Amino acid sequence: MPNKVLTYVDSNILIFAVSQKNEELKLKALRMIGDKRREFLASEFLRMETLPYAIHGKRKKEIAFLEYFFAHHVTRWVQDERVLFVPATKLIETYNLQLVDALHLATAMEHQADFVTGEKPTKPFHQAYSRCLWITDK
Amino acid sequence: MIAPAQTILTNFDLLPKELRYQVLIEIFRRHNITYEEVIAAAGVQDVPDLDGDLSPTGKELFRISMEMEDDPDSLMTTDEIHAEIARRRGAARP
Repeated sequence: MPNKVLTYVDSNILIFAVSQKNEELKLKALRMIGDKRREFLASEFLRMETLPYAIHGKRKKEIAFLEYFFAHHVTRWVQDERVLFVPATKLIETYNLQLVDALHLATAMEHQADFVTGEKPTKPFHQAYSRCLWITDK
Repeated sequence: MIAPAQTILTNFDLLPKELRYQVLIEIFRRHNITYEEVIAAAGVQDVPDLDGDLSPTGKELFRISMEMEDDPDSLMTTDEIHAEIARRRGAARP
């Protein structure tokens, strides 16, 4: 099988996959996340932005989904998040991104991964990185 | 139980692949049954192409998302999801 496409998903995609009311979007997210042609990269920022909130809300299904995603589906982790600070800073300086947006995007860029988000292509990080993909109903 | 579902699944191969997921979701939702029960009702080992594009761990994520009962009040619209992420990032969404 050819090399898999390294992929980093935005937090909203993980929520789409488990809690999206629109079933078409939910399925799009699930199919992208489950795509056997992709392998998944994660950072502690991504984990912290999703799993603790599900735990705080006592949402069993979301907890099960996220725990499985991070424990079994993710094959590569950012080893040291500090390496993201310089590229994220440059993204903020250039595109006025929000801090966490910049950290997520820098993760994908530094690892040459696809960045998949639920944000519309009018958002600035689509301009910042040519490998931004989006899942949207609009 | 699932006579309509069984009819659909009997003709499953005729459905466009894109529709197969949606059909199954509808069956899951309407009949409150599991993927395995749907497959058993259809009398097949597996649904053609349904799992073909999914990795083993992707299938498990699919199963968790589709088979586990939704947490109360957990489902959100796209705008609500974006607003929730914005809240977590400390910014009110404009």
